[in-house]
Amino acid sequence: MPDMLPDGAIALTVPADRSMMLVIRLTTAGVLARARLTVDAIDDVKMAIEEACTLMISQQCPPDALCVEFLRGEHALEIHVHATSGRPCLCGMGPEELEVVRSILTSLTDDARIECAEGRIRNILLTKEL
Amino acid sequence: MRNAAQRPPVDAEGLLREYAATGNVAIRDRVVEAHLYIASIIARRFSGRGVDYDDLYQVASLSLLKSVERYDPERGVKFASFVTPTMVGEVKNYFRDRSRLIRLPRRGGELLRAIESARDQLQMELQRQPTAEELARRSGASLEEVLEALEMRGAASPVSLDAMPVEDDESAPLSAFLGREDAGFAEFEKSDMLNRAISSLDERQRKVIRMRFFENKGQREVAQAIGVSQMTVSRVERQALSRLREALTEGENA
Repeated sequence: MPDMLPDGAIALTVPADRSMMLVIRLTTAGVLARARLTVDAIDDVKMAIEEACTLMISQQCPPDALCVEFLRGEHALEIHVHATSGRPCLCGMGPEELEVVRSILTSLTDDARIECAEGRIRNILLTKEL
Repeated sequence: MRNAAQRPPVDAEGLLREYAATGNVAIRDRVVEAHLYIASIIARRFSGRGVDYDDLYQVASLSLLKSVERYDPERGVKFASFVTPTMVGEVKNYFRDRSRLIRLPRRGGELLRAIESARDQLQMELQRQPTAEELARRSGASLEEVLEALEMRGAASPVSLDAMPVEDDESAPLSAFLGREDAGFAEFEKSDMLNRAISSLDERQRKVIRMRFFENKGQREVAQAIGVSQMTVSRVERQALSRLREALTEGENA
C-alpha cells in the first residue's frame, strides 16, 4: 500500500526552546503517520527526534533555532536535525558518551549518525526504513 | 554507582564467555559494573519526561543485569552494542506502562480508550502493530485526532506524592498540598452546639459557666461577684454542667 507522504522535503524550523518540543512531536507524528509507520514506530521516532533536539539545545552554547527536516527516500525516511544559528555549539560530551547516545538513537530508529567535529554537533541524521 | 563513568573492560565478550562456562558471579559483576555507565547515560538522557533519574537508572541497570544472562558471545555482537538497545527498550516499556496509568479528561479519555481498544483488536487481526491511519479508520476518528490523543497520553505522566514541587530545603512534598477534611468545620459545629446548649441554661447557670470556664474564675470569686455562697455556685455549676452534657449528647445523636 503506497504511503501518503508526498515527494519533497518537509522542514520545520523552531526556536531552540524546550517549549517547542510539542510542536516538533506533533509535526513528527503527522509526517510519520502519512508514511504509514506503525504507532509504536511513530512513538520511537518521536522520542529519537526529541532526544536529538535535546542534544542540540543542551549544548554548552545552545543554538538560537533548530531545524528538523524530513526527506523521503525510496526505502527510508531521512530525518535531519540541525542548528540554524551561526554560533559554534559545544556539546560537552566525550566520544564514549556520544557513542552511547548514538546507540540510543539507533535503537529508536534504524540508523543514527551524529556529525560532531571539534566537540560541536553540527547535524544529527536519523534514518527510518519504510 | 549512579554516575559510574568507567570504561567497559577491553574484553567484555571474553569475560562473559568465561562467565558462561564457569558461572562465576564475580566475573558477571565485573562486566555489569563496567557497563553501568551506559545505564547512567540512558537514565540521564530520558529523565525530565516525568520520570526521575533514579527510577530510570534502576530500570536500565536491571535490564543490564538480565542482558548479561541472555547475551550469547558466540553470535559475534559486541556486548555494549547488544546491551544498549535492550536497556533503551526496557526504559521505553517503562514509559509506556506508566502512561497507561493516567486517567485523562473525559473527552480525550474516551477517544483514547477507543483507540487503545482498536489497537488491541487490529494487532490481533493483522498480527502486527497497526498504523495510525488504520487506527483512525477503526475508531471512527480522524488521523489528526488519533495523533493528538496518542500525544496526550504521552504528555501525561504520574508524579509521586513524595515529589518536591520545588527542589529546595524549605518546600514540602506534594502530599502536603492535598485536600483533607477541615478540622475547623468540626470545631465550628461543636461550638455551635455548645452555644445552643448554653442557651438552654437559665441566666444564673449561664453566668456561672461563663465566669468559671470562659473567664477562668474560682468558685469563691464567682460567689462574691453574683452575691451567693460558694456552695451555691458549686451546686449551680454541677447542675449546669449536667444540663450541658445532656444537651450536647442529644445534639450529637440528632
